[in-house]
Amino acid sequence: MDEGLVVVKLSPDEYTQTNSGNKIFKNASIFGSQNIIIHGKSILMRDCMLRGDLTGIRMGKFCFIGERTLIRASHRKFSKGATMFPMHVGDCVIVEEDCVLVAAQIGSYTHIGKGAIVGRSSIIKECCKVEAGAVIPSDSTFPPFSVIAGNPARVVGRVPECTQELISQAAKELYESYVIQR
Amino acid sequence: MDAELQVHPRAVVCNESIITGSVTIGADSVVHPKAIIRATKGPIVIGERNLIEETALIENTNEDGAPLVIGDDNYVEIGAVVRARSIGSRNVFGIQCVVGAEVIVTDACSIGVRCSVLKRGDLAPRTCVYGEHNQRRTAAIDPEPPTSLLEVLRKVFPSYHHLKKATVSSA
Repeated sequence: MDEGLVVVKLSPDEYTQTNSGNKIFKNASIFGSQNIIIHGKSILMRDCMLRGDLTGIRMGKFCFIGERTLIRASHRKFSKGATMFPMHVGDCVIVEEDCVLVAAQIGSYTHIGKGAIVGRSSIIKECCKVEAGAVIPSDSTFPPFSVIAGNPARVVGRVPECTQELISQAAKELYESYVIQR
Repeated sequence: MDAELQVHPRAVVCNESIITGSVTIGADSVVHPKAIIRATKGPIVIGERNLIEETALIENTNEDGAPLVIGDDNYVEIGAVVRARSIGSRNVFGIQCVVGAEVIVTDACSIGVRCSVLKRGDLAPRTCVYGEHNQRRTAAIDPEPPTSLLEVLRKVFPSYHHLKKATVSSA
Protein backbone atom coordinates (compact mmCIF):
# COMPACT_ATOMS: atom_id res chain seq x y z
CA MET A 1 0.00 0.00 0.00
CA ASP A 2 1.17 3.53 -0.73
CA GLU A 3 2.50 5.60 2.05
CA GLY A 4 0.21 8.36 3.24
CA LEU A 5 -2.90 6.51 2.15
CA VAL A 6 -5.75 7.09 4.58
CA VAL A 7 -6.99 3.74 5.82
CA VAL A 8 -10.66 3.40 6.66
CA LYS A 9 -11.32 0.27 8.64
CA LEU A 10 -14.47 -1.69 7.93
CA SER A 11 -15.45 -4.15 10.63
CA PRO A 12 -15.42 -7.79 9.42
CA ASP A 13 -18.67 -8.26 11.35
CA GLU A 14 -20.38 -5.82 9.03
CA TYR A 15 -18.51 -6.13 5.76
CA THR A 16 -17.45 -9.05 3.65
CA GLN A 17 -15.14 -9.41 0.69
CA THR A 18 -16.18 -11.53 -2.28
CA ASN A 19 -13.88 -13.60 -4.48
CA SER A 20 -13.80 -10.88 -7.11
CA GLY A 21 -12.70 -8.33 -4.51
CA ASN A 22 -16.00 -6.58 -3.85
CA LYS A 23 -16.28 -5.18 -0.35
CA ILE A 24 -19.93 -5.37 0.57
CA PHE A 25 -21.95 -4.38 3.62
CA LYS A 26 -23.49 -7.66 4.77
CA ASN A 27 -26.92 -6.27 5.58
CA ALA A 28 -27.24 -4.15 2.45
CA SER A 29 -30.70 -4.40 0.90
CA ILE A 30 -29.84 -6.28 -2.24
CA PHE A 31 -32.90 -7.68 -3.98
CA GLY A 32 -32.79 -10.06 -6.94
CA SER A 33 -29.05 -10.65 -6.56
CA GLN A 34 -29.10 -13.11 -9.48
CA ASN A 35 -29.65 -10.13 -11.79
CA ILE A 36 -26.85 -7.98 -10.40
CA ILE A 37 -23.43 -8.23 -11.97
CA ILE A 38 -20.59 -6.38 -10.29
CA HIS A 39 -17.33 -6.87 -12.14
CA GLY A 40 -15.21 -6.75 -9.03
CA LYS A 41 -13.22 -4.47 -6.73
CA SER A 42 -16.27 -2.36 -5.91
CA ILE A 43 -17.39 -1.14 -2.51
CA LEU A 44 -20.98 -1.14 -1.33
CA MET A 45 -21.26 0.88 1.86
CA ARG A 46 -23.68 0.61 4.76
CA ASP A 47 -27.45 0.53 4.08
CA CYS A 48 -27.17 0.93 0.33
CA MET A 49 -29.90 -0.67 -1.70
CA LEU A 50 -29.71 -2.43 -5.07
CA ARG A 51 -32.90 -3.46 -6.81
CA GLY A 52 -32.04 -6.33 -9.11
CA ASP A 53 -35.56 -7.69 -8.89
CA LEU A 54 -36.94 -5.22 -11.41
CA THR A 55 -34.27 -5.82 -14.09
CA GLY A 56 -30.56 -6.35 -14.31
CA ILE A 57 -27.95 -4.02 -12.90
CA ARG A 58 -24.47 -4.25 -14.38
CA MET A 59 -21.62 -2.48 -12.67
CA GLY A 60 -17.99 -2.17 -13.73
CA LYS A 61 -14.81 -2.34 -11.69
CA PHE A 62 -13.74 0.04 -8.92
CA CYS A 63 -17.18 1.46 -8.27
CA PHE A 64 -17.90 3.05 -4.93
CA ILE A 65 -21.49 3.19 -3.71
CA GLY A 66 -21.95 5.40 -0.67
CA GLU A 67 -24.13 4.94 2.37
CA ARG A 68 -27.92 4.83 1.96
CA THR A 69 -27.67 5.13 -1.81
CA LEU A 70 -30.39 3.47 -3.84
CA ILE A 71 -29.84 1.99 -7.29
CA ARG A 72 -32.79 0.64 -9.23
CA ALA A 73 -34.02 0.12 -12.74
CA SER A 74 -36.03 2.68 -14.64
CA HIS A 75 -39.17 2.07 -16.64
CA ARG A 76 -40.93 3.60 -19.55
CA LYS A 77 -44.47 3.19 -20.77
CA PHE A 78 -45.04 1.83 -24.25
CA SER A 79 -48.27 1.08 -26.08
CA LYS A 80 -47.97 -2.57 -25.04
CA GLY A 81 -47.39 -1.72 -21.38
CA ALA A 82 -44.50 -0.68 -19.21
CA THR A 83 -40.98 -1.99 -19.82
CA MET A 84 -38.19 -1.96 -17.28
CA PHE A 85 -34.76 -1.00 -18.56
CA PRO A 86 -31.57 -2.60 -17.33
CA MET A 87 -29.10 -0.27 -15.68
CA HIS A 88 -25.50 0.02 -16.76
CA VAL A 89 -22.87 1.57 -14.55
CA GLY A 90 -19.38 1.90 -16.00
CA ASP A 91 -15.97 1.46 -14.37
CA CYS A 92 -14.59 3.72 -11.65
CA VAL A 93 -17.90 5.38 -10.79
CA ILE A 94 -17.91 7.11 -7.41
CA VAL A 95 -21.35 7.63 -5.89
CA GLU A 96 -21.47 9.43 -2.57
CA GLU A 97 -24.05 8.90 0.16
CA ASP A 98 -27.86 9.40 0.05
CA CYS A 99 -28.14 9.33 -3.74
CA VAL A 100 -31.05 7.90 -5.72
CA LEU A 101 -30.05 6.47 -9.10
CA VAL A 102 -32.90 5.51 -11.41
CA ALA A 103 -30.81 6.06 -14.53
CA ALA A 104 -30.54 3.89 -17.62
CA GLN A 105 -26.82 4.39 -17.99
CA ILE A 106 -24.05 5.97 -16.00
CA GLY A 107 -20.79 6.24 -17.90
CA SER A 108 -17.37 5.33 -16.61
CA TYR A 109 -15.26 7.76 -14.53
CA THR A 110 -18.33 9.64 -13.30
CA HIS A 111 -18.47 11.24 -9.89
CA ILE A 112 -21.91 11.70 -8.32
CA GLY A 113 -22.05 14.02 -5.33
CA LYS A 114 -23.88 13.61 -2.06
CA GLY A 115 -27.68 13.51 -2.17
CA ALA A 116 -28.02 13.73 -5.93
CA ILE A 117 -31.11 12.31 -7.63
CA VAL A 118 -30.64 10.86 -11.08
CA GLY A 119 -34.07 10.68 -12.64
CA ARG A 120 -35.80 7.88 -14.45
CA SER A 121 -34.14 6.53 -17.63
CA SER A 122 -31.65 9.38 -17.83
CA ILE A 123 -28.27 8.80 -19.41
CA ILE A 124 -25.04 10.24 -18.07
CA LYS A 125 -22.09 9.72 -20.37
CA GLU A 126 -18.47 9.20 -19.39
CA CYS A 127 -16.36 11.46 -17.15
CA CYS A 128 -19.23 13.62 -15.86
CA LYS A 129 -19.38 15.27 -12.48
CA VAL A 130 -22.77 15.54 -10.82
CA GLU A 131 -22.66 18.13 -8.05
CA ALA A 132 -24.08 17.40 -4.60
CA GLY A 133 -27.85 17.79 -4.37
CA ALA A 134 -28.44 17.94 -8.11
CA VAL A 135 -31.81 16.72 -9.36
CA ILE A 136 -31.51 15.24 -12.84
CA PRO A 137 -34.91 15.12 -14.55
CA SER A 138 -36.34 11.96 -16.13
CA ASP A 139 -35.32 10.98 -19.67
CA SER A 140 -32.46 13.49 -19.86
CA THR A 141 -29.10 12.83 -21.48
CA PHE A 142 -25.84 14.51 -20.57
CA PRO A 143 -22.74 14.53 -22.82
CA PRO A 144 -19.30 13.40 -21.64
CA PHE A 145 -17.13 15.75 -19.54
CA SER A 146 -20.02 17.88 -18.26
CA VAL A 147 -20.43 19.32 -14.79
CA ILE A 148 -24.08 18.88 -13.86
CA ALA A 149 -25.75 20.86 -11.08
CA GLY A 150 -29.03 22.39 -9.93
CA ASN A 151 -32.69 21.48 -9.63
CA PRO A 152 -33.62 20.73 -12.40
CA ALA A 153 -30.04 19.88 -13.25
CA ARG A 154 -28.28 21.31 -16.26
CA VAL A 155 -24.74 21.49 -17.58
CA VAL A 156 -22.89 24.24 -15.76
CA GLY A 157 -19.36 23.60 -16.92
CA ARG A 158 -16.77 21.19 -18.18
CA VAL A 159 -14.38 18.96 -16.30
CA PRO A 160 -10.70 18.89 -17.33
CA GLU A 161 -9.60 16.50 -20.06
CA CYS A 162 -7.54 14.48 -17.60
CA THR A 163 -10.69 13.46 -15.64
CA GLN A 164 -10.38 9.84 -16.74
CA GLU A 165 -6.95 9.55 -15.09
CA LEU A 166 -7.97 11.56 -12.03
CA ILE A 167 -11.13 9.63 -11.29
CA SER A 168 -9.66 6.21 -12.04
CA GLN A 169 -6.78 6.99 -9.68
CA ALA A 170 -9.19 8.30 -7.05
CA ALA A 171 -11.46 5.25 -7.37
CA LYS A 172 -8.53 2.85 -7.07
CA GLU A 173 -7.17 4.69 -4.03
CA LEU A 174 -10.62 4.64 -2.50
CA TYR A 175 -10.78 0.88 -3.01
CA GLU A 176 -7.35 0.41 -1.41
CA SER A 177 -8.10 2.71 1.51
CA TYR A 178 -11.19 0.83 2.67
CA VAL A 179 -9.81 -2.22 4.43
CA ILE A 180 -11.82 -4.93 6.11
CA GLN A 181 -10.03 -5.52 9.39
CA ARG A 182 -10.52 -5.16 13.11
CA MET B 1 -49.60 -5.99 15.00
CA ASP B 2 -50.08 -8.03 11.83
CA ALA B 3 -53.66 -8.81 12.78
CA GLU B 4 -54.44 -5.19 12.15
CA LEU B 5 -53.06 -5.36 8.62
CA GLN B 6 -55.68 -6.08 5.99
CA VAL B 7 -54.43 -6.90 2.53
CA HIS B 8 -56.79 -7.41 -0.39
CA PRO B 9 -56.24 -10.75 -2.19
CA ARG B 10 -55.25 -8.89 -5.39
CA ALA B 11 -52.80 -6.54 -3.67
CA VAL B 12 -49.06 -7.27 -3.74
CA VAL B 13 -47.34 -6.26 -0.51
CA CYS B 14 -43.72 -7.28 0.03
CA ASN B 15 -42.77 -8.82 3.32
CA GLU B 16 -39.78 -6.49 3.63
CA SER B 17 -42.10 -3.48 3.74
CA ILE B 18 -42.43 -1.99 7.20
CA ILE B 19 -46.08 -1.67 8.14
CA THR B 20 -47.19 -0.88 11.66
CA GLY B 21 -50.62 -0.28 13.12
CA SER B 22 -54.03 -0.62 11.53
CA VAL B 23 -53.50 -0.52 7.76
CA THR B 24 -55.86 -1.60 4.98
CA ILE B 25 -54.48 -2.08 1.48
CA GLY B 26 -56.91 -2.21 -1.45
CA ALA B 27 -57.07 -4.30 -4.62
CA ASP B 28 -54.23 -4.21 -7.18
CA SER B 29 -52.05 -1.98 -5.02
CA VAL B 30 -48.31 -2.69 -4.88
CA VAL B 31 -46.07 -1.94 -1.92
CA HIS B 32 -42.33 -2.21 -2.58
CA PRO B 33 -39.87 -3.69 -0.10
CA LYS B 34 -38.58 -1.17 2.47
CA ALA B 35 -41.60 1.08 2.03
CA ILE B 36 -42.79 2.34 5.41
CA ILE B 37 -46.46 2.68 6.32
CA ARG B 38 -47.05 3.75 9.90
CA ALA B 39 -50.52 4.14 11.35
CA THR B 40 -49.22 6.09 14.35
CA LYS B 41 -52.20 8.15 15.47
CA GLY B 42 -55.01 6.49 13.52
CA PRO B 43 -55.68 3.86 10.86
CA ILE B 44 -54.58 4.13 7.23
CA VAL B 45 -56.90 3.00 4.45
CA ILE B 46 -55.25 2.65 1.04
CA GLY B 47 -57.50 2.33 -2.02
CA GLU B 48 -57.07 0.49 -5.31
CA ARG B 49 -54.18 0.53 -7.80
CA ASN B 50 -51.81 2.54 -5.61
CA LEU B 51 -48.06 2.16 -6.03
CA ILE B 52 -45.83 2.79 -3.03
CA GLU B 53 -42.12 2.59 -3.78
CA GLU B 54 -39.15 1.76 -1.60
CA THR B 55 -38.14 4.00 1.33
CA ALA B 56 -41.34 6.03 0.96
CA LEU B 57 -43.03 6.88 4.25
CA ILE B 58 -46.77 7.18 4.73
CA GLU B 59 -47.75 8.11 8.24
CA ASN B 60 -51.03 8.98 9.90
CA THR B 61 -50.33 11.86 12.28
CA ASN B 62 -53.92 13.10 12.60
CA GLU B 63 -54.09 14.35 16.19
CA ASP B 64 -57.79 13.46 16.49
CA GLY B 65 -57.12 9.87 15.47
CA ALA B 66 -59.09 10.19 12.23
CA PRO B 67 -58.22 7.62 9.57
CA LEU B 68 -55.91 8.64 6.71
CA VAL B 69 -57.90 7.66 3.64
CA ILE B 70 -55.93 7.33 0.42
CA GLY B 71 -57.92 7.11 -2.84
CA ASP B 72 -57.10 5.18 -6.00
CA ASP B 73 -54.30 5.32 -8.62
CA ASN B 74 -51.81 7.22 -6.47
CA TYR B 75 -48.11 6.90 -7.14
CA VAL B 76 -45.80 7.47 -4.17
CA GLU B 77 -42.25 7.49 -5.50
CA ILE B 78 -38.94 6.63 -3.82
CA GLY B 79 -38.33 8.28 -0.47
CA ALA B 80 -41.46 10.46 -0.47
CA VAL B 81 -42.66 11.47 3.00
CA VAL B 82 -46.45 11.74 3.10
CA ARG B 83 -48.17 12.73 6.33
CA ALA B 84 -51.25 14.33 4.80
CA ARG B 85 -54.68 14.48 6.46
CA SER B 86 -56.31 12.83 3.48
CA ILE B 87 -55.36 11.96 -0.07
CA GLY B 88 -57.65 11.76 -3.12
CA SER B 89 -57.00 9.87 -6.34
CA ARG B 90 -54.52 9.96 -9.25
CA ASN B 91 -51.86 11.92 -7.36
CA VAL B 92 -48.14 11.61 -7.99
CA PHE B 93 -45.71 12.19 -5.12
CA GLY B 94 -42.24 12.66 -6.58
CA ILE B 95 -38.95 11.29 -5.30
CA GLN B 96 -38.13 12.56 -1.79
CA CYS B 97 -40.99 15.06 -1.66
CA VAL B 98 -42.47 16.02 1.71
CA VAL B 99 -46.18 16.52 2.40
CA GLY B 100 -46.97 17.97 5.81
CA ALA B 101 -49.45 16.72 8.36
CA GLU B 102 -52.14 19.38 7.88
CA VAL B 103 -52.35 19.14 4.09
CA ILE B 104 -55.43 17.78 2.35
CA VAL B 105 -54.40 16.47 -1.04
CA THR B 106 -57.41 16.36 -3.38
CA ASP B 107 -57.19 14.72 -6.84
CA ALA B 108 -54.65 14.59 -9.68
CA CYS B 109 -52.01 16.67 -7.92
CA SER B 110 -48.40 16.14 -8.76
CA ILE B 111 -45.67 17.02 -6.36
CA GLY B 112 -42.25 17.27 -7.93
CA VAL B 113 -38.98 15.68 -6.97
CA ARG B 114 -37.75 16.96 -3.59
CA CYS B 115 -40.58 19.53 -3.33
CA SER B 116 -42.38 20.16 -0.10
CA VAL B 117 -45.97 21.10 0.75
CA LEU B 118 -46.17 21.96 4.42
CA LYS B 119 -48.76 24.72 4.76
CA ARG B 120 -52.08 23.53 6.16
CA GLY B 121 -55.08 23.50 3.85
CA ASP B 122 -56.34 21.98 0.62
CA LEU B 123 -54.20 21.31 -2.38
CA ALA B 124 -56.64 22.07 -5.23
CA PRO B 125 -57.16 19.40 -7.92
CA ARG B 126 -54.42 19.24 -10.59
CA THR B 127 -52.00 21.40 -8.62
CA CYS B 128 -48.39 20.87 -9.67
CA VAL B 129 -45.65 21.71 -7.20
CA TYR B 130 -42.32 21.92 -8.95
CA GLY B 131 -38.80 23.28 -8.89
CA GLU B 132 -36.41 24.36 -6.19
CA HIS B 133 -38.73 26.99 -4.70
CA ASN B 134 -41.91 24.88 -4.67
CA GLN B 135 -43.67 26.97 -7.31
CA ARG B 136 -47.23 25.99 -8.08
CA ARG B 137 -49.37 25.94 -11.15
CA THR B 138 -52.47 24.12 -12.29
CA ALA B 139 -52.11 21.40 -14.91
CA ALA B 140 -54.46 21.05 -17.88
CA ILE B 141 -54.54 17.27 -17.72
CA ASP B 142 -54.28 14.63 -15.01
CA PRO B 143 -50.91 13.01 -14.39
CA GLU B 144 -50.69 9.53 -15.84
CA PRO B 145 -51.57 6.79 -13.35
CA PRO B 146 -48.98 4.00 -13.00
CA THR B 147 -51.44 1.32 -14.23
CA SER B 148 -49.13 -0.42 -16.72
CA LEU B 149 -46.21 -0.36 -14.30
CA LEU B 150 -48.41 -1.94 -11.64
CA GLU B 151 -49.24 -4.77 -14.03
CA VAL B 152 -45.54 -5.49 -14.56
CA LEU B 153 -44.75 -5.30 -10.86
CA ARG B 154 -47.61 -7.59 -9.88
CA LYS B 155 -46.15 -10.19 -12.24
CA VAL B 156 -42.51 -9.72 -11.21
CA PHE B 157 -42.75 -9.41 -7.43
CA PRO B 158 -44.06 -12.87 -6.50
CA SER B 159 -40.96 -14.50 -8.05
CA TYR B 160 -38.49 -12.34 -6.12
CA HIS B 161 -40.13 -11.49 -2.82
CA HIS B 162 -42.05 -13.07 -0.03
CA LEU B 163 -45.41 -11.38 0.06
CA LYS B 164 -47.65 -10.54 2.94
CA LYS B 165 -50.56 -12.94 2.96
CA ALA B 166 -53.91 -11.63 1.87
CA THR B 167 -56.52 -11.28 4.55
CA VAL B 168 -60.16 -11.15 3.64
CA SER B 169 -61.55 -7.92 4.93
CA SER B 170 -64.32 -8.40 7.43
CA ALA B 171 -66.14 -5.34 6.14
